[in-house]
Amino acid sequence: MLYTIVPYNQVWDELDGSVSSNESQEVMVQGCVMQVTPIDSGSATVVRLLSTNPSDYLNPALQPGSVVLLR
Amino acid sequence: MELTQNTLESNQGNQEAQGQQQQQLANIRQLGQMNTPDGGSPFHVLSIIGQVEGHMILPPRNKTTKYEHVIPQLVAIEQNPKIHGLLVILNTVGGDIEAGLAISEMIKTMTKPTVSLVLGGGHSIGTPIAVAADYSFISETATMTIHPIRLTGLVIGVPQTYDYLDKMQDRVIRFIVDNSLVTDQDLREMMFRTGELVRDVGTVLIGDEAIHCGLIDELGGLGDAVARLNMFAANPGMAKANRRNAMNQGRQQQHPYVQPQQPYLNINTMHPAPGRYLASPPSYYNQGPGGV
Repeated sequence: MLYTIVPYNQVWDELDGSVSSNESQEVMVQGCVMQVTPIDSGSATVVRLLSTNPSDYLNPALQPGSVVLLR
Repeated sequence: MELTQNTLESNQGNQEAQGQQQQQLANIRQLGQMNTPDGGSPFHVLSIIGQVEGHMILPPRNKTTKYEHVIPQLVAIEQNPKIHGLLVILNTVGGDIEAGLAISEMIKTMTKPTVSLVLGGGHSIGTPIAVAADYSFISETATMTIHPIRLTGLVIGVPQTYDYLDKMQDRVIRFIVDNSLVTDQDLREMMFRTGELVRDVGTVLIGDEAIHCGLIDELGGLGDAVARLNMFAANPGMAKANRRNAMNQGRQQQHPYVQPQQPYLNINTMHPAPGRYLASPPSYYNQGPGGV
């Protein structure tokens, strides 16, 4: 049950869902949980960080758009 | 090209991380001590953005904050002795009631100091999250929308549905009233106010309006919020004690009827109890018009 100012039809509208979040997955790289889109089985592009640690956001290797290696 | 460079860089980063790990292992073996990770921030930041997502996965076009991320993070922050406070940053349009209330309750019951900052918007279910912190800030331009829970587009035909909606609403109202200085009456009045058009009913509070009605503690920004956290971190116990005092004092000011009332007449002497009447009439009582 939602309590929001956004109209329900806007929230649930799946038309032109060009950005599919199905492609993105959550992984942990260097101790930081993040959302990534896989490039191949070994690497992925960072979409956004989910960490609460502010210093993770200053780590240049984890900037959104950069490529990280998955193990 | 850029891609490969990035890959190389992150490769390098990875190697560095591995090197650090080996260094740490060596330290543990040789010195029996663990390296503390960086000199990082003593405060962690939780940003509640977009929709608060709970039991239902929202379509991908919604930007969401998921409770399965937030709740374990809160537990980790509570347990990690290196973290001395939590800054909650809100820019949310609302979302799942149960998830929102769960997050609010967790923030409220943390022993670490918590400060919330409403930036942009803290609408609907963002309100209980904002008031759950020990101290709350709102930026000058931020807005909070107080409105009733409704099922837009559906006609409520069954009485049970209406009762359920009402109960959900009461849960939210109770949490907000218990954790801020706003009164139940004022909150309901704002929620069902007609005229200020937020799709028929509701109130938009901008910046200091949220402070005047008692919802938020102070107008401020990032610097103020971090300064407040620093203050709380330096004086352990201050955050919670302050909160309790503020709640008690605020309640007494706004609801005189909850003050412990003395009996009207003393049973033994049959005199009015002290404090119930002024010792002498106030000076203006004896004055004529014009104060002469």
